[in-house]
Amino acid sequence: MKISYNWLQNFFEKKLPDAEKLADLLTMHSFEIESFEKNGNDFVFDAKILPNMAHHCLSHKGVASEISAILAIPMKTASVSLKDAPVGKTSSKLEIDVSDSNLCRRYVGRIIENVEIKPSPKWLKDRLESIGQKPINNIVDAANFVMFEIGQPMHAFDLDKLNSENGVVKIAVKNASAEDSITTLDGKSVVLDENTLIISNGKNPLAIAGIKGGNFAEIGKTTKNIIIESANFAPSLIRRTSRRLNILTDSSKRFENEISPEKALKAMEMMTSLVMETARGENTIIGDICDFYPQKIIQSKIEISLREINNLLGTDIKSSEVEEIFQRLNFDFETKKGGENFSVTIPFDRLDIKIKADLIEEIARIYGYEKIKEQKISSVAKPISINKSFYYKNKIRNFLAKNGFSEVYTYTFTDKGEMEMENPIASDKNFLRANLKDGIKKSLDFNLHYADLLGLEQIKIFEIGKIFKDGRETDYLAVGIMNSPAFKGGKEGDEIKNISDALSKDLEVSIKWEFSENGIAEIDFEKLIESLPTPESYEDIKIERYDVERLKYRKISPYPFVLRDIAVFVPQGVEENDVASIIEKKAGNLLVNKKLFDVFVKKFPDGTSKTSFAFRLVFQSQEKTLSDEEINKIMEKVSKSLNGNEGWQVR
Amino acid sequence: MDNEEKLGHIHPLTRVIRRTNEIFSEMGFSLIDGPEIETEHYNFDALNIPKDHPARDMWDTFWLKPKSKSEIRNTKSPPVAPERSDGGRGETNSKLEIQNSKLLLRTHTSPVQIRYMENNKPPLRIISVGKTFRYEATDATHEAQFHQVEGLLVDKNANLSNLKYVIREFFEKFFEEKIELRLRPSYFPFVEPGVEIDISCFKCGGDKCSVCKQSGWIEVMGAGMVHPEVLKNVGLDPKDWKGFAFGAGVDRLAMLKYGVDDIRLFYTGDLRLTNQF
Repeated sequence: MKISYNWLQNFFEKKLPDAEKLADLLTMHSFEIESFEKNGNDFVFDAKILPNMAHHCLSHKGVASEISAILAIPMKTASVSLKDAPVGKTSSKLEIDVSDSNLCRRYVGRIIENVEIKPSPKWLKDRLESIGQKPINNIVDAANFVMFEIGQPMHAFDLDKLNSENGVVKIAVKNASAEDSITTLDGKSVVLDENTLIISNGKNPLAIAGIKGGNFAEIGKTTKNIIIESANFAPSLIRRTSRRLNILTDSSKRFENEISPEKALKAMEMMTSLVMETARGENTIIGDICDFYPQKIIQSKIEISLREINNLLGTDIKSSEVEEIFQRLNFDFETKKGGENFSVTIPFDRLDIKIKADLIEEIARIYGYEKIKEQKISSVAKPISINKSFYYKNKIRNFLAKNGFSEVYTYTFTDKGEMEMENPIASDKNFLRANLKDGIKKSLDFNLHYADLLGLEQIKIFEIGKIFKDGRETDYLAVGIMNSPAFKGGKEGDEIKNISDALSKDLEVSIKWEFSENGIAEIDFEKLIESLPTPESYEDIKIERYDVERLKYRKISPYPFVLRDIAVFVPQGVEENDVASIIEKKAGNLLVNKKLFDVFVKKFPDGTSKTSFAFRLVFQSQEKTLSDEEINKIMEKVSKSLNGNEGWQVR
Repeated sequence: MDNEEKLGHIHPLTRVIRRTNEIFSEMGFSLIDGPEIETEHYNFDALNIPKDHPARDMWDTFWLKPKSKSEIRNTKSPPVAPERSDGGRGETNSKLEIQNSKLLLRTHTSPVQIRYMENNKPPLRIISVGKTFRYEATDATHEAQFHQVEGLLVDKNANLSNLKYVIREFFEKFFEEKIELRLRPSYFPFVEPGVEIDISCFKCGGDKCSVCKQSGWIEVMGAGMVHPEVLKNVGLDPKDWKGFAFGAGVDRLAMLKYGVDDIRLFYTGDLRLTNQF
């Protein structure tokens, strides 16, 4: 929600701390201020109001009440001065008929006649614009102001567009019928159904209750007489309806988060005062308040003891401190048993405070989480249970890694399988994988492209993860091998067999792959370990190197890599490393990998023997695609340097 | 080629998960698994996140087509028995509710709390690590599949200051640096009070750097005291038992620890990533 700093300031006599400090205080004690920015001579905060704070904080007054509690400073009841306006005798009368008081818990209506529709005064426009709202006209703006000031959505209808009988205008709050449709204020036509609660007049739907007004009785330039609505609708109804119709509004957001029906009347009074200030004509008459409110809300009380508070927080907060916090939060309370117990009356607005723990949270956040000291937990009460599955997964991981296999995690989502999602993230990711082998195959193909970059002649990988088939989820293990053309060893299938035999020996269990073809094999991991004993500790699956070596990721370059081979004859006694270090030094940091791929000794006619070392060099930049020219230059430098040694000769 | 180069590599997420388990097992937490396919009941309702409540918006969910449901119910999955062992009040209703519950991909590892508490008596200390799913667009910091670590301690006198201790211990061991915690009010329906936990930047120690986005703090975890409603849901009396729970993103921890800049790299099966570890 957008919050204006200046708007908040209007609730206080005292100057508030600067915007940055205020953002920090709110974040540490109330809710997260995700960002704030300067807006003329104002600042606008973007607050992340989660459902527990949404009952009272989707409004400037609610936020001001938080500031009042955090800073322990008094606040005014409104950010504007409001005047009482006398009620007169209107020519029309309002009648409200609510069909279900579970869905519409309160409906406050009022007629005001002979208003003057015009642009709002500057202060009102400024307020709305400060939080990104577009001013429309004085009535609509006043309604919006009330919503952003105290959190009560308001609505106004043009009275003269409605049917009346003998001067009585009937407003019904009822479920729509299947044939109904409505054109909303933004011109969209919406088909209604029996599950949609509407505000209607005769046969005409005027608004989708609590969500969006219709254009039938829209306030316009020619409007003279108006009906103002300040109502309270059931949160789950509004949530369901707005989701079903896909209409999310500032109003629906407040209702679905639930607001107290107690607000409705206060909001009507505020609205009336604003109408009289901004739209008063010569003969403006304020009608009686029509208030449908069959089940008045009773304020709840929570009994809590000092002990309960300190036990849950692990603190030593004193009775007097708790009292002070309640005062700052503006909670009425009684102290009992000499300060040991409290009976706290919960303000209507604070629908989030239902149980003791809720109240303890209030105390904790105003007291300050930073003041809560650490307390050690007792040493282990009972020995941990060893997770057999976890143990063997990691034992197998270690084994495979020792044998040259690298671990991959592939996607659970795929385009075929047995279990399908109702709402896939993409049309080719609509199923849960029914095997690991497809993912392994993809990964093998992918990595083979990078074999030189990786310095590998074989891609050897494995994955352990859940698959979804035969109506259940099961842990599977898959391994895969793919040889590059340069690889001179045995076939993939033979190697799978070898590793399988070795693993079988290591685990002391027989391994029968469920699938094994073309260098990919997979098996039900749960069955594999079924007969194995549960270990007594995790001792032998520790990762070595975790603590000793600080691993740091080096960014993967998005640019292509370039290969160059270089071979050099060197006199006997010169080692591979001697050649390699010169190459490394001269090639610079664009050289990302190098591999010796050929060594042989040749006898020359002069009787000397020389060794040939052939390296494959891989070049890649983090910043750009390397050109041949650039690489050629580097290679020249390398060759020159190698040739500069006595008896060395680049072939 | 020397021996070192012939070795394969362990995925960075596995490394983080193992280290996490090591640290918590030293503090007496047992590692517990839970299913990736969950029921609406365990993923939401039992965690005090009712249907049609705005809190549901905090977890964008993948729902499974009903076809798979009947199949699932007749098999041994989910691996942890959903039925209550204590035969508490309202059991018939809750069983029915569970059976009629829609299937989804778990959006967090928190259902494991419920499954475990239903079948094990306190005092208890568990963590759970596993794959979770969120229906959301992917970018460098968001993935539709990711991993979470969840922790739960239930005891006679567990309190918020204990939570602070456990979490600080964990992060200091994990990042191998001195760490300070900062708790901020937040909201998760299954805890009360609920907090967001920031750690002082392990890189700059609070001096502000690129890792902590110039704030000195890094948001790493959600936590709180187990909501009495959750305890009641598993047949525990909140008067006798208190607990705290916490959850963090494994991927995020790995990204922070190793400096990986894109969460999606973890799931592309790319050895250019794995082979750096």
